[in-house]
Amino acid sequence: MAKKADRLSEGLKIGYILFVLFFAFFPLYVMLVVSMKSNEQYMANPWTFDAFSTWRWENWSTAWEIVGGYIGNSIFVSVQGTLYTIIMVILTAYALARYSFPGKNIIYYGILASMFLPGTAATLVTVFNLLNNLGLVNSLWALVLMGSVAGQIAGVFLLKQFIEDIPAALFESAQIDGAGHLQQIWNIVLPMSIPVISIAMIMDFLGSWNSVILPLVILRDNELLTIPVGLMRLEGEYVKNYGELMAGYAISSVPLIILFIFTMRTFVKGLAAGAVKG
Amino acid sequence: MAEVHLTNVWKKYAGDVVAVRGYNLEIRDKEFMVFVGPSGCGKSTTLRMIAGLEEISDGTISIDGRVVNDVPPKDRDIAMVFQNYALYPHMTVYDNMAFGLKLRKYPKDEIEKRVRDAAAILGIEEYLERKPKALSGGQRQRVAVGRAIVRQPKAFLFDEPLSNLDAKMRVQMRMEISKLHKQLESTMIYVTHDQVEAMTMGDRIAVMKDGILQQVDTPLTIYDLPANRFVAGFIGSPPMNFFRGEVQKDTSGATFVADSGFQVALSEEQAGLLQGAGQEKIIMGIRPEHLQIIDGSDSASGNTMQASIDLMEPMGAEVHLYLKVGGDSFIARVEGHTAIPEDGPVTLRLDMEQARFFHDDEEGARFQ
Repeated sequence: MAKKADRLSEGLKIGYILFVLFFAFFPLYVMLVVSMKSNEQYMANPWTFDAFSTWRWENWSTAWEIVGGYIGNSIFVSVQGTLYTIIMVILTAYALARYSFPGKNIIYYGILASMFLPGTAATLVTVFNLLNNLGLVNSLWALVLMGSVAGQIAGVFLLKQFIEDIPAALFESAQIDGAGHLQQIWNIVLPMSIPVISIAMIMDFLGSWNSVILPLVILRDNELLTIPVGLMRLEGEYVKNYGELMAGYAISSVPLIILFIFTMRTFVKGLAAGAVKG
Repeated sequence: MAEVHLTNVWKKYAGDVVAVRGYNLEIRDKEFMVFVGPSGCGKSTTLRMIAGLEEISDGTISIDGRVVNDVPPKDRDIAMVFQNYALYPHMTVYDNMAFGLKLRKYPKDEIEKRVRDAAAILGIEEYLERKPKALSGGQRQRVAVGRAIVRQPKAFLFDEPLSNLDAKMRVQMRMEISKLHKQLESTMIYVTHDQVEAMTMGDRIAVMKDGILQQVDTPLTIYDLPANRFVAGFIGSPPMNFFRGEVQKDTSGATFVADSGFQVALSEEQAGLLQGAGQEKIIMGIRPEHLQIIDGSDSASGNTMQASIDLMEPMGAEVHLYLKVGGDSFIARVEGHTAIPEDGPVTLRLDMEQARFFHDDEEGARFQ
């Protein structure tokens, strides 16, 4: 009896996992299928691969010619934005977690309060005016700048809690050993909070990479476009070439897949740590 | 290899909380000084002020003649061992010990030599490549001590380093730290709330209460001649017994008459000391080992009392007797194989030479 019930619950579990996996991977599968088809093939059969000999590899090469530059722009913007964000997050969180100084709480709650301000869409006009006054319209630096300030709040919130949980004696011991602030950050904060810092970085990177509205409004020149905006351009004004579009999507997701493969373990660890501490 | 002087040191926190009040102490070169006192007495705060981890509110602290009030911890040339070890969990034992030297940019071979030497002294050579989490509590504390040794500082500061260890390991580490002190011949300041550690390790002991230094002296002097009732009660286990009473004089001499009913004769010297007390109540203190059970028929020999037994704690070599006389409870410590009457009162002789007398006020200073 017990064995039967075990088998049933095991079967249900696996069935549920397969169900979720199906919906997660089905769009990716369709993306790959369609990326190998012409529009006619797509209309005739969008769900399965046609004979190998009819695969349209040129969809990929055409898409790469268009998308390659956009990927470069996206990497430029996302990597820098993430880097500057994380530097500021670490310094801010360290100061807030380790030291008491006049106005500390006001600063911290001010930072937290800004989490409740509306996002890009609502502040678009203001942000555009600001960037316009700075002379940064139609420049990737505008996105680097905005990317650098965007992810800080959640990062500071997360990392401050984490640093506060590191025993004070570790920092004091390092102080006596001769470590200044930056050395304490480098030797204690960084190695001990890798999971949290990684998750903050990955989230920030994804946010930057997937950002659409701001680049759409700020960027004018075709060669400056980032991936999401570039993909929209791929759709064409009158004729949609679905095969090229899907190949473009596939190519643009490759950097994220690589990033995820390399950081999967810390990513998952960080999510768990965030769940407990946050 | 340094003298540490504290002159009128105060530590006040916001909201008028005073942790340390007018602390004056001269710690000699190569001395093992123990700060002891109950929780919250300010001993750790004082140590942290010497380390530079807490700012001082008033007064001066000098190490080797140099005032260090505004000198950051790293420039005070001290090393500190923390209660929770404070080892860097992501570094190996070797890296933990080498960390301070690396920061000070010592040459690699010098670091290697010092770490290996310290590891040899502490018997942790085989653990050098392990991470702290793979070590036991005692091993971790050795690493923490090793990290201090490699720096060859002017003074070592220990903040209750043995509190997290089990009883057996504590006794062992206690001996090792004492040996280390003899071997290194450097100034050590050691904070503990455990009076046994204080008695066994310290060259001198500084007893603190409520942020005030009560007495500084060698362990035996503090044991024999406590400055006040607090010190008398805090140092020694089981603690000193106290009896309230008054001095009465007649033609045959002076007598201490306890409120609980018994009376004992005072020596001329004691009577002289207590002359100032007049008719006021005073407190007599006598340590548990200065009470001896005698045969009841021998009570004529003087300085005896009758008491009932509440509880007996046989410890093997000795027995702790919890006794009652009148309203006073007290403890006697007698030899393990003493014949103790099963029921009924016991007669005890008080070794009055060893009795100490204190004022019956808040301060409770000893008559001297």
